[in-house]
Amino acid sequence: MTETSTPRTGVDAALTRFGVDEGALSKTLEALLGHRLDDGDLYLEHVEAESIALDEGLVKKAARSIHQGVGVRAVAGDKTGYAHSDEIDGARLLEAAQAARAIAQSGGPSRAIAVAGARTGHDLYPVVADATEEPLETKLDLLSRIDVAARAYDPRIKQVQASFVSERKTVVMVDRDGRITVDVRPLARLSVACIAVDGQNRQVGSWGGGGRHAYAWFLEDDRWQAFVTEAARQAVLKLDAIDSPAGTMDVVLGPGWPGILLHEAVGHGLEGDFNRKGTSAFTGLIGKEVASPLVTVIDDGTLPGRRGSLNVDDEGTPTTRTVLIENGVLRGYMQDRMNARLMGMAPTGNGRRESYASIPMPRMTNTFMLAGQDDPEEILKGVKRGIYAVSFGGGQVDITSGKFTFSGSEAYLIEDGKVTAPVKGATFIGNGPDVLKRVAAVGHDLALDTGIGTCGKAGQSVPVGVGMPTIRVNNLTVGGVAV
Amino acid sequence: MSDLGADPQALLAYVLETAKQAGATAADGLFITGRSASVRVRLGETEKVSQARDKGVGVRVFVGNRSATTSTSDLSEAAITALIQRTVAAARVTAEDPFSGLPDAALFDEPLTDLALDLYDDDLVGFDAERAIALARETEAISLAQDPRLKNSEGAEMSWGHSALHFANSLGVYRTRRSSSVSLWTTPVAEDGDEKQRDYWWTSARHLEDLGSDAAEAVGREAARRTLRRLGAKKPATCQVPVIFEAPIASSLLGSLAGAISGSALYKDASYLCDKLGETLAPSFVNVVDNPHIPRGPGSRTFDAEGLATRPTRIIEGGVLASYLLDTYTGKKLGLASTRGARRGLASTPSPGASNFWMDNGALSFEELIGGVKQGLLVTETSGFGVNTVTGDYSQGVVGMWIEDGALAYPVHEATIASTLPRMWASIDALANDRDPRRGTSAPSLRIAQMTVAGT
Repeated sequence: MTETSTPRTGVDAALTRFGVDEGALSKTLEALLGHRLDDGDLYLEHVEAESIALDEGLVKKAARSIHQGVGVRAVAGDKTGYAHSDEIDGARLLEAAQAARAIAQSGGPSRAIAVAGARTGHDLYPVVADATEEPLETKLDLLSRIDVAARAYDPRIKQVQASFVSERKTVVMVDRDGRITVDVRPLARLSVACIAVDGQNRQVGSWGGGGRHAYAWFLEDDRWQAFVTEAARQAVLKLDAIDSPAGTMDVVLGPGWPGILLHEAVGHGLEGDFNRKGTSAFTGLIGKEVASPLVTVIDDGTLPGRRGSLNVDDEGTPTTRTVLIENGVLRGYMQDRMNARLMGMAPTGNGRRESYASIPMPRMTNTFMLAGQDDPEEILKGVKRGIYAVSFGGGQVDITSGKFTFSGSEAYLIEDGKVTAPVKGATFIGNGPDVLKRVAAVGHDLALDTGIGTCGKAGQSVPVGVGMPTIRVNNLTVGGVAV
Repeated sequence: MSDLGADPQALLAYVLETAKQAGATAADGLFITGRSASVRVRLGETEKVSQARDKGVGVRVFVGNRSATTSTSDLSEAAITALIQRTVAAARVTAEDPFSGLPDAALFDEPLTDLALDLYDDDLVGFDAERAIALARETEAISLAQDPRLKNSEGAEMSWGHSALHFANSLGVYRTRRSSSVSLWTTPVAEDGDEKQRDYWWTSARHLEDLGSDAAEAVGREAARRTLRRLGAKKPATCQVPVIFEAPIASSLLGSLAGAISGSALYKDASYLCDKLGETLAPSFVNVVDNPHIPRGPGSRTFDAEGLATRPTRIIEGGVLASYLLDTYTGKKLGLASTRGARRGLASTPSPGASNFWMDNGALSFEELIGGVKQGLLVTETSGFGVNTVTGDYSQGVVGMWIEDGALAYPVHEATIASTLPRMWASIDALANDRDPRRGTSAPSLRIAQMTVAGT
């Protein structure tokens, strides 16, 4: 991890955008930070976002929005006072600071804090012109081409919905010592959904991708075409799908997006807050074996351009690569500043928030399993009867009991080592601290997802990434209609 | 630079005039202001105190039958003017769509309901954090006092707020309404040996007084009961049995119906209920009404997001699908009138949704509903993304209680249930009388004749 100094122009430009100066920020910090507070910060955010959508072959929706606001936080022990406002001026900042510090019942004298010096983290998304700045006509044209390409895939594709959503988020964070961190974060995503209809049989296929990239990324290597083909292929494939079997069986998960298994089964349970409070199924298990020795799981916020990556987290801490599970042994938690301090650990750059209206929490960035030794073909050949799951609609976990669920969107029967009929309506359920112990093979084909993930926790959504090689999990409960 | 937030009507008038100057042929806009606060107490200590003020303006402009939308929380004249000019320019390059446009002017002559919906409580404006902390602390303490195995907690949270919504369009319509809400939650954690379980309970209301003087007691005890009953959970055997959806879960099933009959899904062929108007979906004792006029109702509103007067709509009548949920655009697409169901976020175009979307109660008590089952599953929580309203497939993870000989026998987890939505609705064979009026989308506990349960 390296810290370099931000050019002063970056800070000045950002402050100008918010219409505040360093003097106002200093005054706010002074009002906020009585000596009985353990921490406190200011978080200013400006988001310019654009969303365009096509259906029935027409781009009917084009929306552009500008939202900005400030969040002021005071922390004493495990108490947090928070005030936010979408008006950013000296008076509102002071009012927010007073409201926030009330939590600490701090009667201590304010101290003078000079807002000066700047710090920054990585430079993972050096985008000169982000996708919101690309001319609207160019993006409208792309969506129209997507519609044509999807319908050309198969005559049974009856509806195509495509959307392109992009934003540029500028954040200015001022920590308790008056240090300013500025981060300008581009984010864009292209989504395609196709509906295939054959008589009364109606099926949907969805795909997409994105990241902290410029618009050109979507055109490079024909990425947009690959997304379209994938959505159309899934929709048509499912026209022939049979009902998923129900019961306990061996499951092979394909590479990439199925890494959502890690996110749900172990990721959330390794966020610092639940472990500090003792409400995670993984509480107290550091140093213990929680997975097969084949399994190493990483959370890494430093991958260039990825949807889950950040130069610094939303508390100004540079992101890191955190080993969560190493050869089956639980090694570490993901931390924000408050939980790290209370647990006597170091922040890992996982303090994230949805917006200025939200209090930071430990959150995942890009979470994935390292590649193993096995040949993916051989992994499939080794299964007598089971399910091969290659794509998922989403997942969910009960952090306290450890039970997770994820919903298959493309899956097949495995019969005598061969991948056979596609199945629909497959749901996979298991117990987080237990499921990775039943990982029987790990492929050498690690892949990260295409950049479509959004994680929800306590009402806050943040972009994330996942990844995994092909793996085999023995004895997983599969839910479906067929008995 | 002048800020226009102080006078909502003038702000909207400025927005509409600016759109017109920029070349828009029609426009409508919303301006929303709100204040809210919340507190959380965990294990008796205040953990979080938060307060917020929000405001924003959202505008939809038309150039002929092309349109675009925009929103901003920066209410300076300069910011609004620049954004609207940019949005009108964007509208010029979107596709022509003959179905787009404002509602017919004549529809705005229809008066808003004269029922007093009473959605705003002055008492919540001055409600202070100290009282909220005390109530949250009491709620959590009551829940944890119910059993020594309740050793931990995710805390108790109380939140409250009030907001005002102003609507105007280029037909000269200006409408406004205020609302408030307050809610109280707690999430205890039970531990027994290596096993940990959590569940929660809550209450909410438009008016502070409607929480009731026993809110802490009622929420705390119910949260404890729901959490404790999960301890000792087993995986059931894979089988096909009757399944009872407890009222909160029945309500989410009803929510999937609201999604499937939304005009925005229907006109895109993206619903298993396309072309099913007038068909029998469920037994004759199943009735669903979307009623925006329930006094103090969680989903009540006098006008929709296009400014049209709302009115009750029968959705399922005697088991027959009687109406979709439509706004102006999706109504035109389907050749039907708007059901006045338009909803919109500030930055988005309207799309139809539900208000108070309620299934009528049945005659049975919850105990009688259970009593009729020899072997079956009571579902108390679902998880996953396996409710597909495009295809009608249903496959979800569940937590619940096993039923044996008409009584609750033991808790189950790590199980799934699966069927299809058409089969589930058609095979509802009994309804309880326990619909919860605090929910915007609310159904009583209901029994489905048979689903596949997967476990061991």
